[in-house]
Amino acid sequence: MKQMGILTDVTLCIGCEECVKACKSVNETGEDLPWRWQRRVDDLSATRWTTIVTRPGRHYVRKQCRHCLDPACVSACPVGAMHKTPEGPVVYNSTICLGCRYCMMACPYGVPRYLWSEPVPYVRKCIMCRDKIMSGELKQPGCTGACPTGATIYGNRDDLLEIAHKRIETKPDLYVPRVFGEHEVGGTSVLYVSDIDLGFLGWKDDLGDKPLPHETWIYLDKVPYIVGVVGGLMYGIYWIIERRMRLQAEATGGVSAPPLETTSDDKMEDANTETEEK
Amino acid sequence: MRIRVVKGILWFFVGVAAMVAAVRFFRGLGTATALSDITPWGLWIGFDVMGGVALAAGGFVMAACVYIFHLEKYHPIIRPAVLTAFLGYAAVIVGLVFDVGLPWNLWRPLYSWQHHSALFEVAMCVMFYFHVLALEFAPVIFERLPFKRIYKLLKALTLPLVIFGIILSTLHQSSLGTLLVIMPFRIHPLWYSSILPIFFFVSAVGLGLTMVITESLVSSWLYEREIEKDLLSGLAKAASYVLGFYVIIKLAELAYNKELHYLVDGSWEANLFIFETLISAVVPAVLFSFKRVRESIGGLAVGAIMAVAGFVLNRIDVSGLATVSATGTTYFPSWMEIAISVGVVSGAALVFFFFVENFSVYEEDGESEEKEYLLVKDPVRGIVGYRLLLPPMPNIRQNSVALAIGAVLGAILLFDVGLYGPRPEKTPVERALSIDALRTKPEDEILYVYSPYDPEKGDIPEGWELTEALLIDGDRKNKYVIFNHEEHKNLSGSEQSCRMCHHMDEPSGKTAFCHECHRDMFLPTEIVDKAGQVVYAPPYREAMHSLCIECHEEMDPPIARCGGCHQGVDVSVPPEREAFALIAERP
Repeated sequence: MKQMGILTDVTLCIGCEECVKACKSVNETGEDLPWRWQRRVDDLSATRWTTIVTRPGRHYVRKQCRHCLDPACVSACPVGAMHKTPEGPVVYNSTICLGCRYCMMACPYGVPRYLWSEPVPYVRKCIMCRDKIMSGELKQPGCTGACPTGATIYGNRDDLLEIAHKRIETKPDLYVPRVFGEHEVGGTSVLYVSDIDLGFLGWKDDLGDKPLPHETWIYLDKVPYIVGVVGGLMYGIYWIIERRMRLQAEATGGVSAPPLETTSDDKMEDANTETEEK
Repeated sequence: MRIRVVKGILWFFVGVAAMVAAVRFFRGLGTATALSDITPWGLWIGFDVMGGVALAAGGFVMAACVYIFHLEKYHPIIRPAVLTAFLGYAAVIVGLVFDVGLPWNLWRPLYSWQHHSALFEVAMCVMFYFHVLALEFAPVIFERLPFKRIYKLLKALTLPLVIFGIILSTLHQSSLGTLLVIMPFRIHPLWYSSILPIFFFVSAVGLGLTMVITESLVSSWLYEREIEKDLLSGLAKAASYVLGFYVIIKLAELAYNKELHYLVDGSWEANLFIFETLISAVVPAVLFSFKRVRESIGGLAVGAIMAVAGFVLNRIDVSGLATVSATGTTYFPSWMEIAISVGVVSGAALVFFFFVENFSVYEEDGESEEKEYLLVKDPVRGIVGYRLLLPPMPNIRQNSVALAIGAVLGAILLFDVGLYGPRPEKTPVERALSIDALRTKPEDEILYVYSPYDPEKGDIPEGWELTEALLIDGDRKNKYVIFNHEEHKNLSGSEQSCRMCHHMDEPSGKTAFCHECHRDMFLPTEIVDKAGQVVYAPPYREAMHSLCIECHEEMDPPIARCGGCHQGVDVSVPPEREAFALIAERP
């Protein structure tokens, strides 16, 4: 199956928040409340999986999970509770999640949110309505279906990229000449075309094109070698020094060197064995 | 005497922490911590986990010195080092039980492997190394038990266990650095490096050495015991090389990435980094390089404590403070987080003292004398039965009182949150403002489009007319609605229509401002109604929404759309709209 994605055209968004409303009703996320751990009620939260960010000059940018092609959250999760599906969405399995929140730390966009108020908390983020689309209940995610201006559309990622490039080509004066999400951190399934720079969506204006999981894999890849090398090295050093000490002792006193455990422990052990024998 | 006072204080902290623990588990992380979606990791990860693992590095460093490098003279400090490491890891696990949201799933990494995750590596290493340390330390307990086969088996396993422990520690100390490699955008460039795992490993070795010195000095002070000065100065010498090496690679890495200029940009991060590097590595390395210093107790104490504090600070910095500038949020741990951290460390220290007092952790002369077993064959029950000889428990009354005082104090402080759990913050509502507004009716729209009018900007644009309206923006967050009161009154039947929106139960009833009863944007307000009953006025947002949407939905065609009323967001609005900030300041 081809990877599905979402294309949001910032120039077409009127900021009506119909997508937010649809998302909330489709996913039954509940009421947004001004909790301490949230900077703004209308920012992304465990109850608000997509939101509209207003930028100066009447620009409305829909913020949501980017569903990266090589997601940092997926590679960060120690149990695989975050999962990139072949259809595109990055989904979450709450039954095996430990709640370590490493996914939240790893995401370059800071998207995953936590149910901080619950004694049994889970991670919450946009899942592109995957369960409902797979079961046939919905033809497309709630948000794209609700958009009155067609600013955000659902489709095959390749087709969306084509549409995006065509739009930029036809109105080169309007758009920033770049499809946001085409290459960023290895590419994302959620794409944007825009008349303003969208660097503010991530932790840094320029996130680079390299997928973040690669950075970690450089080290994790070497774990088996480290096990072998450190183990071998340690035993080697032990063996060499032990042998040298034994030879030295033989040369000087003609008495074989004491074995590894020359300490009081062993004397005591010997004493114990003796008493036992008695 | 010293130890008695210290123990009393530690028991007090454990008491407070026990109460906080109850709130943490029954009310959730949001109640107990200051964590947020932007800073999901805090003190428990930075101090308990990162710091705890680093402080436990003494265990593998000393094991390598004695068993691999045959530096037999350090044998007397291997047991306390292994015990410290074991308790350090125990503290890490307890810290994690508090920190992770679903601690009953902590075992999951064993079952669901995800070898691309640095945290998976960390989890596996913690689990394995905790047990390796337990087995390394087990002979201390088994030498006091009459099961000699097990004791002998454990002794025979020493070398393989030590090597396995070194492998796990190498992986684990560095993988805590690997954990942060995936966050290049969160962490300040002074701390972020693609070779963080190497920094973490090298600093762990240095920290292991200095921690053994510190812990040796502290326990000899507490128990008024003689200090193994020549051993400690040997360790200090090694530490000075390791710490020096750490500083060199750290600076070399900054220079290689052309990031040295961050050091002198005068930001608080730069100062923090310089301070941290000075106390964690530079000063101790220099101090310990002088023979006179490392052979004096004062010199050892100053250098070692600085290094230990510095590296704990380093772990907190890199996992927390270094992310402040990127995320733009400041996080300061709640007192409950601090209480748990202190309580966990106190608990670990108490277990340490228990072992020191009841087992031969610090081996002394005359060791080989026969010991008393903790288990003796029960003379009544014969061969099968054993009787446990309980170790003496000095000052049990004092410690119980300290624990109880701590628990009571904790309970008093937690009474409110414990009972009610987390509560959303208040968002007081202010009254709607009467303003001059511009309005126009685009061809294909049913509703007028409104925009605040700023007289100083002068002319009314073509196709727009001036009107009077209410600017409804309860929480003053700019998601306002411009409401034409006059128009609504006229359209719904002039004077008779007041009661449709305002609560006027009698014909002579007066209207009131909405914000007088619906006082909070998101929370209900407790009020007394006309009959003298206590009732709840719904939140401002809910009151407004239900009132407007109900009517608008019944219209033909239904015009209940967010953008219909929240017109501040419509593209067709002229730039005058931005005069809003000016208007909002009007009385």
